[in-house]
Amino acid sequence: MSSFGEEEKLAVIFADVTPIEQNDGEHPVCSIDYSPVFVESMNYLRAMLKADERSERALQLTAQCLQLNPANYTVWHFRRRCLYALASSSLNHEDGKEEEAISCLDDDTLERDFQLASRLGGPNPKNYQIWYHRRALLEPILMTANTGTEGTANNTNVTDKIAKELSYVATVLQKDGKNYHAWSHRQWLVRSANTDALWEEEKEFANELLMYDPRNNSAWNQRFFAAHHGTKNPLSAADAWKEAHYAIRGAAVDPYNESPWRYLIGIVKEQTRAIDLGNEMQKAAAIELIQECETELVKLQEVFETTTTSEHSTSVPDCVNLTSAHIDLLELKGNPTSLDMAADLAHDLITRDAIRRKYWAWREEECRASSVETS
Amino acid sequence: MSDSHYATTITNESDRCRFLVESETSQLQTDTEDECAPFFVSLQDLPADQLLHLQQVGLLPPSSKQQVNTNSAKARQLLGLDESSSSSSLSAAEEEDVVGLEETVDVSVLSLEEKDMDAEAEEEETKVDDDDSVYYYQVCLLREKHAAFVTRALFAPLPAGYVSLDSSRPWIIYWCLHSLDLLDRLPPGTKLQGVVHTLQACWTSTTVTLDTCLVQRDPFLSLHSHPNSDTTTTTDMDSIWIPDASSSSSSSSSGRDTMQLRGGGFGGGIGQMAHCAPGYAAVLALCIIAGLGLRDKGEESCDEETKEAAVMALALLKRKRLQLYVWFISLRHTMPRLTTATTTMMTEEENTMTGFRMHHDGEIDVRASYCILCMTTLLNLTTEPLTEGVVEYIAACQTHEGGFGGEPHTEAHGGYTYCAVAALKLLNDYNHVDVPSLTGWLARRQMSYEGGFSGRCNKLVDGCYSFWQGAGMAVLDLLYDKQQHHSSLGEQTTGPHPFDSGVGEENESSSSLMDEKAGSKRAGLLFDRTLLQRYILLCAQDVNGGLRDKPSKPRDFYHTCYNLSGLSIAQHVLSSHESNTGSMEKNDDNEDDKTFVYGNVETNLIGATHPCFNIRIERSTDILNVFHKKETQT
Repeated sequence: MSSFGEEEKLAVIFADVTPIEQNDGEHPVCSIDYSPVFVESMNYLRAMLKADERSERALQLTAQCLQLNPANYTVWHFRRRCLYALASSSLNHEDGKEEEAISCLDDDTLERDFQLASRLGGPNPKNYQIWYHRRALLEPILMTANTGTEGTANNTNVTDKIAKELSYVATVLQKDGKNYHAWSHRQWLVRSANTDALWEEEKEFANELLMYDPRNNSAWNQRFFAAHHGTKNPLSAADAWKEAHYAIRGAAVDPYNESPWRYLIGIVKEQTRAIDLGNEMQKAAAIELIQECETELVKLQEVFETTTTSEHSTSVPDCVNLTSAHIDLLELKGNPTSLDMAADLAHDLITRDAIRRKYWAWREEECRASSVETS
Repeated sequence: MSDSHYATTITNESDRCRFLVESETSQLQTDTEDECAPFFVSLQDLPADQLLHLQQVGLLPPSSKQQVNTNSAKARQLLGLDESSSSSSLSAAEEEDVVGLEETVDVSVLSLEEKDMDAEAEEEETKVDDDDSVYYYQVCLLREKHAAFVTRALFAPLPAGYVSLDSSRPWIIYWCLHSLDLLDRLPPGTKLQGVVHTLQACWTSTTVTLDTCLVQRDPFLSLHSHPNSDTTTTTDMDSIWIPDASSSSSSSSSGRDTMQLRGGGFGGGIGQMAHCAPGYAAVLALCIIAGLGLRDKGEESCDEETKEAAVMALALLKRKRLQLYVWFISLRHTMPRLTTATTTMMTEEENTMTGFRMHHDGEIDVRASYCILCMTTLLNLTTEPLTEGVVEYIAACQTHEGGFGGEPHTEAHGGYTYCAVAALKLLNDYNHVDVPSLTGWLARRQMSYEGGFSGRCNKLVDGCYSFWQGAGMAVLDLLYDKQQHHSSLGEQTTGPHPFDSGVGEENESSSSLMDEKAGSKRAGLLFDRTLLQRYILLCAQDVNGGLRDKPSKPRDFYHTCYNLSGLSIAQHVLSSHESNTGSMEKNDDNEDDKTFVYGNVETNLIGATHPCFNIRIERSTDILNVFHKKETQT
């Protein structure tokens, strides 16, 4: 039980404490008509803060206050200080040795606070403070493990904790597959663990979400992250091919879906950046990749046009994403012919994608200028 | 005749979302399009009673009583001149609003000639090119209602449900104040003084422990942290020096010499820890108020109470400036970069990047970089020790899509992209990012059917992104445009401030890829200004005042602020800002370098907001002038 029961009145538990009212000044602006429960809870909390009393009752009071306003980051911070103080006092550490105490929170304490965070997080899935609390509690443990001084036993403990957290995040993503905080937390977990096994599992996790909804851009982004093992180093040529083909298959499922196209261009562009710096082999591989992608794209376009043009329709089915990706590939190819073609395609999009006409006019201009420069 | 003359039309079925495979995403998108579709009807095809209703709520201009030929019953009905039908469905409050509207709309500005209303009524059934009847179909911004909605927050206590924003009170203040500033409806000076007092009450000082060598290397800290430093608070500035609190603290786990200094910032409420987000909001709100007093010339001068508020606000900023700096420094967090060092010149130890925490014991993401840089730019606190490694962190947040996430590798997102783009502009360094890729991502975020922006690929339109994405585009416009010869964005400023070059002046420092191309090209605002304004005015306005995410969502102060800010961005082109507001002309099309107002020009034109700070450009210019004067350099 992390907050007080109904029978336990604050006035009784804090009988020795003088509550402190909020000093709003004379004519506060944007003041809030707090409920009496909120006023009382916060009055006692202010007293705890002032006295810096990091006790069990203060800890329970924070839970009550956070129930009423889970966004009060000051209360979350004080709660953590209470946790560390209680843990270090139980270990007979000196005052001020809290840095060590942080990693000494026992499993029961951790579990209880994860449950508090999960309980508050349910109705508040986009609250920064709740997600950060989970991370703040786990981070010291992960960091200790990564310094490599721990034995296998502790590492198993860490692995378990990470696995448990990942499954919690999965449940949140079940309800909202695009929850930004959830994905961010997940990235931190996997990056902290940094094992080959987890990177592969993460790619598969993203893939499953994409089977359910190919337009889940967060999942596409997660795949990119996992494929790169959380770094910004370019993929090997072999891996780049695999990812490019994955993207092309995704685009083939539904070319109107923007996500796989952007994934494809991201992969290819990264490889072309290696051209300037790298060796001839890398250069050749990148050029081959662009060509392969362009070939696949054109094939896809033909299939797409054939299957979607009905007998009665005279208009050519329109897929701006496809053309847009084609323009990007041609630009990456970077020779006068491809740049001229890119410019022509961009010119077409001025009318086909009218809301972006100014952007396409600029792209056309850029391509023509580059074409002149490279010829 | 271009679409801009009409309040609606452009219900283009071919712009609707297409898919070969249905999914949750495509379903949600289709639902949203369905939700917006009713707002995109052709007004001319609406039955008379619906047109009347639109007039009564203020979305269409009231009729011009003096110039209408009242012979035609149909015309009278259409234009709401029939007394019996116009008053019955109005509540007393609404009637007040309508009357107020009529008073504010000066119909004499438009040269409405007397016309044969019968003939005109008939013309309306076919496509009309005539200016006069077109006026009656031009959608209006519900200026007075929006002003009333946000003003209430400043005058009366908010209901208990607002407790969830109890740690965001400076935000509420800023959202409301900025909205009112854009609408030219700021509250009286006495209320502004109350605002300053409340923000002052949200200030919290804190003791900060820093490495001694860091302090010694820092231009500000070294100046104000030595035995001879003044420990007392002078009239101008609160001290950062804590005597007898320095050196060789054994509590430092790193074993380095540390010292303690006094720092501080604004928190989300009274007694709450300093936090970058409410801090940013508080500083902006104070700049708005302080700015009012700095415009004290001629017809722009303000009354005594407002002047007093402005003086208080400016004094508060000056007093807290140094402590803010100390607190900013304490929030720095340096970490390894995600790219292996590519040259032998750099060791892995040097291969780092620096983010900022949002508050002590708080999360790190690109919002903090932006909030802090915004404050340091306005208050002239940007230093090398503060910004070292910062651009590398921001750049690391760019994803394969071209936009930016909150942290390196998280998904490209409108809010974080804005923070990154604006922060880079303030740092004047786009050398580490892929600008064309960013430009493409931003362009693709405008929704073909709805006209507004979404926050991420394959997500839904939301009115607040009108600013986050629109201003991102506007900042890039400032970046690309090097050929402006004049700019009223910055009237002549007395001192150099890093961000301002590139706005009205030749950009001397290294800035972008564009430098290499012969004859810097003007890219312009690369989104559709008409359709964005259309979305805001038709879909985001609540007829009772306030603006919202989308029609199915309720209004709130945040969405009011950012819809209006986005509207401002779409109306004004700042890279070559010409204040042609006096002309009141209807623009034939949204030419790149002109102010362009969709719908009713008289009611809809609002103040020009600065894309980097999101306060009116007059305010930011004046504040920058004050803090970047030579005397304020220390």
